[in-house]
Amino acid sequence: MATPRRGRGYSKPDRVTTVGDMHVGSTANCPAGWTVSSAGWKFYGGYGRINDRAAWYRSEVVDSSDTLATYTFTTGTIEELDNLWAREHVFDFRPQPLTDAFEIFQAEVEESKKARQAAKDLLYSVLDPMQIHSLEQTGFFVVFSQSGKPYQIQGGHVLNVAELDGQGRVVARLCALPEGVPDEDVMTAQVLMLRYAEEMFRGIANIRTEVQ
Amino acid sequence: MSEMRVMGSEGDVKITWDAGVEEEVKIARKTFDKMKAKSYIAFKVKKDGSQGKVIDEFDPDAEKIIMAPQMSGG
Repeated sequence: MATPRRGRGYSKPDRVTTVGDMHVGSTANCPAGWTVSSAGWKFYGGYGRINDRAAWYRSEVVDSSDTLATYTFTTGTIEELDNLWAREHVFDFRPQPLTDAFEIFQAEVEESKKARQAAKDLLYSVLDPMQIHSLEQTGFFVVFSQSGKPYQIQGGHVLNVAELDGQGRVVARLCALPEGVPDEDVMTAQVLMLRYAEEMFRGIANIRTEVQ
Repeated sequence: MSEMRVMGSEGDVKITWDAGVEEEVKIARKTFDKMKAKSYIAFKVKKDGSQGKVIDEFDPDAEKIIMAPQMSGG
């Protein structure tokens, strides 16, 4: 009897997923619903259906590039497999919690992409075409405060604001940001602060003078 | 049509209102006040982000309002 692995939160899956026509030793990508994230392949398995037969399956990493997996299957009716599970703990790697974690992770990645795109749209709405071009080509752009002082803002959010002199040399680096928002929103807030509330921004920011 | 963009961890939320529609203004004002209570800073700007200023009170006639979370030194 195989010894069930414990302590990782694995549990018996409570749903059946159609996985299509899979074969023992297949190196095909995991079926939809069971894929893992870019974090790499992990041990996991599923309660699926192969050629109209219910099946347990599991996958294991088979190469170091984390791109291939092999599958092993035990097919039978759901009841048979339930019995197998109950009697022998045939498979140690239970997918549900892990799959949920990856689904959550993937959903978070998607949300993050949407958030960043929305933030980028907002940033671009307050920049002029030259600033957008500069940002896309060089990773930074220059914004002028109401006092006429030029500041260079780089992508990112840590010490990403530089105060420039008349020759375009960096004389100081400033760091002030709203927390918990995408980098592009940080930049938008910095642009608006420098344009319309420069003194407030400088009062908040940590300022590091550059030695010439 | 005016719009307000409120920054957040999941991207900014966009709220639009017509200054002539009381109910829409009411919703936008309520959101503004709620975020100000959370120490958000509000910028009233033109649609293209120009000619802005920091505001503490909701302006129903603003073309665009951008609200950012409170800033702190990094």
